Amino acid sequence: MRNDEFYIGWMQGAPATFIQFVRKYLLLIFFLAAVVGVLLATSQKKFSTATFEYGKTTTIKGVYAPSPVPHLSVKNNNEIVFIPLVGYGKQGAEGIIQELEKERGISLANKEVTFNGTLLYGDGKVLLQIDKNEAPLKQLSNAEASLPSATKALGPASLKGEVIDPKCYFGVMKPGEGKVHKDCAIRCIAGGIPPVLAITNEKGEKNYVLLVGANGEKLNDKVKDFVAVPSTITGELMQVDNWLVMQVKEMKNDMATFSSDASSQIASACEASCCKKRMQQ
Amino acid sequence: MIKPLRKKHLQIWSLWALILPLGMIAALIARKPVVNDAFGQVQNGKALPVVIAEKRLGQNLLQLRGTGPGAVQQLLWINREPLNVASATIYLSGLPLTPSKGGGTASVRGQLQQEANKNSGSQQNEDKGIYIGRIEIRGNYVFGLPPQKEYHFLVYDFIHQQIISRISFSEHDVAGRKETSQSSPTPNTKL
Amino acid sequence: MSVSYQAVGWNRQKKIYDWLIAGFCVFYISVFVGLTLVFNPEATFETLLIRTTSTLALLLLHVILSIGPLTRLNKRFLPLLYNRRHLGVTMFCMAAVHGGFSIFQFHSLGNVNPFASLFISNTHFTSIADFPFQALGFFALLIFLLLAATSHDFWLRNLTPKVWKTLHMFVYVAYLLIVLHVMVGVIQYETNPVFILLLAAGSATLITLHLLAGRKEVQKDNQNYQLQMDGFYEVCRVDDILEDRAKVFCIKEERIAVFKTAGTLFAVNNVCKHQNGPIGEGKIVDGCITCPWHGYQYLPHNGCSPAPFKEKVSTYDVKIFEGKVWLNPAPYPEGTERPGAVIELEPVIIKPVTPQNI
Repeated sequence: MRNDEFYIGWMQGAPATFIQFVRKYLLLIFFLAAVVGVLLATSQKKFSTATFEYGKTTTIKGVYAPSPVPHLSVKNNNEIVFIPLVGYGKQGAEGIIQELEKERGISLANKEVTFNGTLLYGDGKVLLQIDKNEAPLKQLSNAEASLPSATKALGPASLKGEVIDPKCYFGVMKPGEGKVHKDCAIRCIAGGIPPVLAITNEKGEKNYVLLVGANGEKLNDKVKDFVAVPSTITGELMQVDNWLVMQVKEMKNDMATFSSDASSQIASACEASCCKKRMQQ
Repeated sequence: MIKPLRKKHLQIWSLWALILPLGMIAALIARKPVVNDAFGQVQNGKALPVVIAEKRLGQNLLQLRGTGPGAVQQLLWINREPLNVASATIYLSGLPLTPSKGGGTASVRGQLQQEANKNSGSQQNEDKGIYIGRIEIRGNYVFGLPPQKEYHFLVYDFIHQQIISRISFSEHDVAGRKETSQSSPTPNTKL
Repeated sequence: MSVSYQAVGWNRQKKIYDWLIAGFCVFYISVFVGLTLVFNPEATFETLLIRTTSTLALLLLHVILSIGPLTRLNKRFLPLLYNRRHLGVTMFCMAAVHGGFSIFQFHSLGNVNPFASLFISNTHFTSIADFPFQALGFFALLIFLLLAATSHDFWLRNLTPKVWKTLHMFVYVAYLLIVLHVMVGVIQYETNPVFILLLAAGSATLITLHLLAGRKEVQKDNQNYQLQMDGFYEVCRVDDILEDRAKVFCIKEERIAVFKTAGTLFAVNNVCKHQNGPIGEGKIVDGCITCPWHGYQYLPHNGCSPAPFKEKVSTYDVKIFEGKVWLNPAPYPEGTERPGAVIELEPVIIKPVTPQNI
């Protein structure tokens, strides 16, 4: 007698051979889900141990300065700790600082302030997010203050690494680096968060360099092509308290080149024939 | 399924049989390798040759170093794990402290969390002792030390005003090892 | 087979299917999230959400895309095909959570609109390694949205099966976009070979299944029927067709199913009016040809669905000559009654019972 079982979905039940077959298939599929889940979960790169103290604010007293990047200089024993400031979301701190200055009718530059904000830190670096919704300015001294900031010129240097945004990298996002995070890093830097070059040595140990323009100006709108891509950054290196800062002269990778040298900029812009004619006149 | 659709299916999957492997291979070949730069190494002084005593704090190594046995002059902190605290300042306390729970191989994270929770807010006024220095990114940190029979270090987060950890080297530890360490880190490229 | 609009025509089989889908999703999420937290205790909720939903959606997509060719290769996979669209909608939901949350996570709270940011942040369209992978995922998600939104039979009827099916073929374009999204996205960051190996295994499986099924179908379509007489083609012997079942023949334009029931052969167009399923691989149940995909039914003598349903298929002339079946591939208008071909029984010779032949 031939097996003429036939499956109809709207019937109450399925024929026995179909049920047995589908059960075997389901066992296989669930097993596959387990294998895929185990393999993927255990193969992911380790997440960083950086921390963003979301929901918790900390008060820090120091001297505010807008240069080389908005930061607080905090005295600790006989040294100064440089804490870069960032704004809420993907914004730099300039906006909130301007609002506070307008509110108080006074410039905050080189004044002793007490900020209330959200800390983010990792791998020895610490930053402070200040947000207008968190009553960021607790105290402001009217008198100019000065802290013996240790700035040391280290000479020209050419460093290889990855341009990151320090807010995401040091706690807000994991991962805060690499291709998967690139778009966010570009958005954060475009919003004013200072770009940082993350350098890795052969042991996997990292160092970090704040990047500014050749004359100390902001570089945010120039670094887009170099974010999350191995790049070589050349310029004048400085040690500003506990942070390295580079005044960038050139950025280079296999897709783009940026040079702060004015004539180089004109030359590269003049590839268009109309500009070439103008140069010849 | 109708005949034209069957044909379309076969055409599409024949094309995908070419494009998918090619796409995967192209993306793999194009993958950019991590670029290293030796500049990353932290080095803030030359470590003396003799390791007098050594202790671990998670993955990190603390060595008392000098020019000869028992003559401690330096603390070498070999920072191998990324810090997960806001700041890590080191004090040399004049008083013996409760030995750190994390003096063994407990992870830095767990230990720091435990100590921070335990000491939250309660150590702000404690006389922490002599300020030795601060740890930041990974690398080797050399700090000068006064000669003492024993050393009790405090790791303190000055931002949260919390004691993170305590590490003690007893008189016995300090009097102990005489040999030169084989694994002493060599001074690296200058900043 | 509903006459009026119903969001979902629930029945026991669909309910079991849907519970299994839910169980599968919960199972995978538990494994992935649980193990990630064990091996990566620093994992954040946001990253876990993005990765769990993306990997689950991709796993579901591979299961969904394998059902079609598996069913062509072995009919016992048919129960998987019955409610496949629910699987598709589930996959879309996971993909939507992944895509939507990723757009929020990576593009919002910035200085431009998040959707603008998606396309203007990374503009390295000429680089492979640095290609804006999120844009690929975005377009794939749009396709999945279109497919999920039109997955109901309401759209099948209003768009017509041909247009609807053409639209749903875009799932293959979406699959290609997703593979490239992973290759120029995650694979550029995660260096463990497991990721590329799993993706390659999944793609290789789908390619193999589709090519095997495709080759089998094309062979059937290309079979030649040379012998003809007055427009009829000799296709098979009467005994080749099982009772209440059919054999399918592709002559000229489309496949034709010849059914045998109650001593008569009837020929109808092989393509079901619902979702173009192969009627000829169905069975006659309660006097009706029943499509193996979703159980749509047609009367064999005129190709009409039994009342109150309104679907109709074309009918054809079939005759029997010397034990062979002859089929005329010229179709009659849908719903035309045809007499079919009566199978004449061979006379039975009754032998007297004798001691020698007991």
